[in-house]
Amino acid sequence: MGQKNSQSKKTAMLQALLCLIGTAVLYFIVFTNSDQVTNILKSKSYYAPLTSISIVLLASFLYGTAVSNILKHTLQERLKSQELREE
Amino acid sequence: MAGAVEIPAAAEAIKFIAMTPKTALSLFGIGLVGGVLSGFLGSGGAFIMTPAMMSMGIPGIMAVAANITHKFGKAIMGAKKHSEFGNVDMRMGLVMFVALFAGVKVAVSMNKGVLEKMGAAGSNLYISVMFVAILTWVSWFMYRDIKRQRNGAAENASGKGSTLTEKIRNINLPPMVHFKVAGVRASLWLALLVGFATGFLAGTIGVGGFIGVPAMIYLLGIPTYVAAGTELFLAIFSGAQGAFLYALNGYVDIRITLFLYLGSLIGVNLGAIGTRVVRGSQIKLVMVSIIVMVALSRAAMVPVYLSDMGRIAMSHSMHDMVTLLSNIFLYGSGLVGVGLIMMWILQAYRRAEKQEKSEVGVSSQAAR
Repeated sequence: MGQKNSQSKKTAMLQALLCLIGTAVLYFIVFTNSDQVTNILKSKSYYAPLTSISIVLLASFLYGTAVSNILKHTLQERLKSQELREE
Repeated sequence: MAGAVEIPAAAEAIKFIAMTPKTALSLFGIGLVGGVLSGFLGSGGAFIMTPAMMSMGIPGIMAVAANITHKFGKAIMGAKKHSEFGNVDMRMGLVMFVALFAGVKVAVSMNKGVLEKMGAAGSNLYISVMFVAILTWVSWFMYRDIKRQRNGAAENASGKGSTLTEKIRNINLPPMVHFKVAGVRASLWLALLVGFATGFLAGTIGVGGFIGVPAMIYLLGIPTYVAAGTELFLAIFSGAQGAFLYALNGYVDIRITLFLYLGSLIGVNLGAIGTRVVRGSQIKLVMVSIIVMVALSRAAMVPVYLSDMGRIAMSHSMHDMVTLLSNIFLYGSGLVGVGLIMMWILQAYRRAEKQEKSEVGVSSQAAR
């Protein structure tokens, strides 16, 4: 069981690392091409929401997964014994 | 990073700010504070985020657009986290989002109309007045609830405990729907009304949670942490629709949104974890503390925006002083809220550590 947990922690941390790298790549692409991206967003065409929503989804998925995995196997695990479910 | 890009012509509010390291760091901080509050309260990050961005010089409508666009992704990740904890009533969320769509649509049209008719200062004034009016009402309502809870035992004993909200909650207007996760049975019409109000506020000031969460708690009678989780689930839809509409109108600055994410996705996870180690009453306490301070902050800014519109005369020094006072209340509310949440998480962490140490001590004694 302990080995399984450790394995899942390792997998989660590896996934977090890959997601962090993906986030860095996404941010690099957006900020090095910010003029072009801004022009699309100012266009008031359907490309504007398509672009912004695609970037938002990708950024939140990559960075969110990384942060969630890291906190799940550190802080959340540590606080497990202190959980309350009362109103 | 690109400098400020100004769009000429009629849309004077569209001003893409210069992205300096200081701006980026401020956005990270705003995102972190908003994220913690959002994860803990279900929404409510925009209590702080929209006015804080406005205080940085971002026009009101663009601050709302950035916030609602960022809320879309944050809500997906936050709801996923809350769902892991069993805090999301998807049936309630799905019922409410139909009305919520209509609410956002009405609000975005109104915001656009205000901007076209009154300009940037008028739009800022409108958003601030909406903040003050709504926050004052919600804080007064919650204050009365806390007061009532204090006297709860005595009132119940004398049979005077039935309030307007309890009467509304008990309306049996068919069809009635059973919400399994929340553990309540409520009128479909009531759920739709709460959804519309939440959507309208989300579209108007970039936040709907501070009306949606109290409404779910008091009008629909669901537990505080389920209200928080369900509100985040609901925010996915309001965020998606708001993000789409504001982007279609050219108000989204994606750079602001991306810097907000760096802080807010850490914060939303911390906040969600925080709900596991506190009681429902502690969640309400954080909410009401923040609401009062943000209402004061926005109220202070109303004369400043009136002065910007040329409706009243105000000296530069007075202008700066009032703005500073508003910022103190605004950032103070964030600090108070996040401070309380982090303090409780830290206390739980210490308790867990202490418990672990004592368990290790007991097992080593048993081994001897």
